[in-house]
Amino acid sequence: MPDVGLAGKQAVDYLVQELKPTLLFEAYSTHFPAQVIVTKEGLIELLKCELYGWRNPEGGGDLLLLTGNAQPLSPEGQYAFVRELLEKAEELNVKEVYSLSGYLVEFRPPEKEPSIYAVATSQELLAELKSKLGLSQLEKGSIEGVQGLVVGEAKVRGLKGVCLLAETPGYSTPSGRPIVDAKASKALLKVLTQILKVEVDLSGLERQAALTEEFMERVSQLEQQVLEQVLKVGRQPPKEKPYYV
Amino acid sequence: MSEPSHCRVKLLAKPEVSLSQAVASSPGLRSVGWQALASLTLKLNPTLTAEVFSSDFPTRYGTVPSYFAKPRAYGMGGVIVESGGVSLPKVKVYHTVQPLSLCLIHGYHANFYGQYEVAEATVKLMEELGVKRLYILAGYALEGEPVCCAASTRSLLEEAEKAYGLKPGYVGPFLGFSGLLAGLAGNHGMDGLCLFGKTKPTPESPERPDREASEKLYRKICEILKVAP
Repeated sequence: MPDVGLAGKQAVDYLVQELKPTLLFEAYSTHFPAQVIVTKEGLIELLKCELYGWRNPEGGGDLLLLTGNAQPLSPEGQYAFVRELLEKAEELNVKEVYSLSGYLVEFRPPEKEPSIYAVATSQELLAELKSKLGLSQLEKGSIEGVQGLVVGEAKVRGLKGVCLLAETPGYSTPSGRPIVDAKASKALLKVLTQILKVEVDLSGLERQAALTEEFMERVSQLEQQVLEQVLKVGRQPPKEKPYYV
Repeated sequence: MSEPSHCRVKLLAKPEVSLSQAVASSPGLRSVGWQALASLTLKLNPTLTAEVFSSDFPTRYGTVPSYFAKPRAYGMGGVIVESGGVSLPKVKVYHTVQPLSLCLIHGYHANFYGQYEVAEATVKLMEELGVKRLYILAGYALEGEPVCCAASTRSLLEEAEKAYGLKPGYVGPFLGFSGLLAGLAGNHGMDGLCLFGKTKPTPESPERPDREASEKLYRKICEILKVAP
């Protein structure tokens, strides 16, 4: 569901696209934003989350995948949502919960792969993730929203829980609309698929990441041009001297 | 997820015939849809069918504009004063039988905690009245046609283009009572067609009426309903 850089949401959406799981439930909440979405095609969509189920044909662990175009805005809505979600998950015999999200950084060099941070419900689990996958440890802070709460609530219920966070500068358009950071999504999936031992072709995300980088490069150039224009105008002497009484 | 109910519906005059169509709007961008609905109501002189009350209806909002509901922004409760009289804030539902059977819904924006509940109660009331198709009137502020549309189904989009020359033109969120009504009506199996009249935003006073845009929208809904404007 929507997170910084839409990194986690895009990662799960990509899994849904590639694994073609079965839609099990749709979830609505009165604590979602009071709005609908009008799509490019002109269709009206209510905000909702979707829970998919995927049977692993290789005989490994099956998956429940949660994605959505919104998450509850209020803390009471977020708690209620997470509790209901985990109740459903436990009914379906889920033992491990993985939450994916972006981790906002001021700047990420274009040539650098996003670092992945991990937090876990136990020190043993964290140590295992660090040693096997070379993940970074998040020392201090908080993880806001359902992405964080779901792991916290999993711990209370005695489930294993991990939150993976990918570094992202949180791209957005000049009007403030968030842009998917597919590079961060890919980094998240690289780690998650290793943990879950599921093979997924990530080349689609690579193409999307290249397009995002190209778009952001153009936005950055435009911003630079505007800044130069503003500075140029600012340097010109005023036409008339200011007059004060 | 269910929430404790703060919403009540007062039925005043149930129409004897089923109302197959409804037109709804609520205070919004430049009051484009709101004014168009007011004109239609004036034209048809309908009967007040029902009122929907909610303890989440403020008279003063904690957010600007009123339809931008946020958690913890409860607003202030109170009454609306008009010509020396007082009344509770409410959604008003009207009906006409002649010259056409139609339901008219004058929306009201709840705070964050009541928006879905009020819209859901209104949709259930529409169901009881037999509404199968809902038209929503609102404004939009992008480059494009004077009136564009969005719909709950592809077939309705096709019909809107073929019959009335309406095309999609707005992409993005549709906030508040009217947006939710359109979305929830779709979930209840009703057809929902949103008509957006083009306007220019005035951020310092978001709901300041744009009469020209409202007039164009009013004429379009009259054309669809086959009512002389």
